[in-house]
Amino acid sequence: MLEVKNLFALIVIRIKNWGAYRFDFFASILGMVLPILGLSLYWLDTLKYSVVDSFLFTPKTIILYYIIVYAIEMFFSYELAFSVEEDIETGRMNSFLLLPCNYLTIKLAEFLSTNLLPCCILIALTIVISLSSMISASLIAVLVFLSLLILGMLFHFIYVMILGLLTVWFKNVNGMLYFLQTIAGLLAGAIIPLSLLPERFAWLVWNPFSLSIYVPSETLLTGTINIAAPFALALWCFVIYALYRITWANAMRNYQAYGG
Amino acid sequence: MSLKLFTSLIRASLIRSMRYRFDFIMSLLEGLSILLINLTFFYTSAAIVSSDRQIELYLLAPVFQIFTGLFYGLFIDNITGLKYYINRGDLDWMLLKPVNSQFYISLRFINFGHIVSGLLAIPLIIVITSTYGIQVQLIDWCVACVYIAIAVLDGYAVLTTTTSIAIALTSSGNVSGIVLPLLSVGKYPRRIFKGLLSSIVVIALPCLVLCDFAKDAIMGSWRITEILMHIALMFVQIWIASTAFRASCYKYKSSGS
Repeated sequence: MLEVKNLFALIVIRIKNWGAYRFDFFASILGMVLPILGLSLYWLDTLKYSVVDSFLFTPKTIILYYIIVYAIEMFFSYELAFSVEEDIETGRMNSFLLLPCNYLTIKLAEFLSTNLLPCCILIALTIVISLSSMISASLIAVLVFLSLLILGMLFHFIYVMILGLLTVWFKNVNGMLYFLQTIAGLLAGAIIPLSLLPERFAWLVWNPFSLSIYVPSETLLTGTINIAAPFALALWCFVIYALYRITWANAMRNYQAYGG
Repeated sequence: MSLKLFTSLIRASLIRSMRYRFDFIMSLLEGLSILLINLTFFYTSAAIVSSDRQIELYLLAPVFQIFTGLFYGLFIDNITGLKYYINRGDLDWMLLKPVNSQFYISLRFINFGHIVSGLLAIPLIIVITSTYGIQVQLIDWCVACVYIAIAVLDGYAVLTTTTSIAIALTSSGNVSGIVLPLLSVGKYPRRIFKGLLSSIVVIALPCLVLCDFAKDAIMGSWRITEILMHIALMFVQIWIASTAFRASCYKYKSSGS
């Protein structure tokens, strides 16, 4: 109960911080809109000259696909990993460890508060798309979409926590984070829909990044329900949490608290 | 003087790269992952277009990679750090140095991982041109290099101008989150910009179409008037960037701890 109370108190502080840095937030939104614009222009041009009649996407669906994918991707920022990296580098971790509150709870509050506005944007977007009859998703499809989204957020939160904790060993993880972010984007279908890949890469759909981004987007867009997907993602969450516990235990053994 | 300073900065960056080898390797991998993603994207999407369009998409990915490698390698760790210099008060001593402040801030750190990842795309261009039987003359290579150099300097001008304006107006300066995704639009063929948008991009953001011009040059299609026009536009953009930088420095109030 105390943890929940702490969580809410921390979320309120984070929201106040967000209010103070409005420009940064709007800059991040604009930073997401621009690639969608580029991709949309590219696909509109490409599909105009397409020589394959059986191509799965139409100009409308592929633009919608990228809008949904980028809206979901807003949740999966790597800012938290940079924040953990800074805590370790500057020695701020010391003060967090002394607090009567779990470090994971503190970071979860940070993660959730950062994602409150993207969450509102995604909900608004889903309502607009549904009302304008661009897609006709069933209630089950929406429920599967939401369950994948929540599990995906959980997976991503623990995943970026692990990446941030690697600072204990590597000192500077910036390059590694950008590299992993790019690879994760490819695996998640954020660059190209995974259905466009050759048949022999079909198994890629079961990777956790795809289950968090590509599969929910496909579910919302086409109404195709893959009932095994939420279970597979839940399994990935257990695996990543076990990995986090091992990493945390080892990181605390190696942490030297020399920052500050 | 500037050349001597630049040489010293390169030497310092090299020493840093050797000291932090893991970071160097990760920057290299990050650069290569961008190439991998662009290649996957273009090879996958090229499957649905005619063969003549396929070749230009295949060539565009490595050309854009050279631009990205050089741009990120030279500027990404510098201008984007301006907001931190202001927050921490580091800008005070930088402005006091007896060198051109913009030059010093723009080229202080050089990321060799990105530069190497960019240069690694050159063999790929050679493989693609030889596979598809494209005869590339020496002059075509030179023109392509000129276009890429203009693109890098244009990208720098856009980043510096927007960062300076953001610092002057919002005290934030965190515009790299906008400019970098914007520059990534340069990986697409320029024909995606149509009508008025095409004219606006060529004049205001030429770096978005210059990789496509460089790709055309490799394929033997270029005009001297276009090169001269882009060089002229580049000088205008650099002048604007320099003016914006000076203006933001005038507005700067030392407040760091």
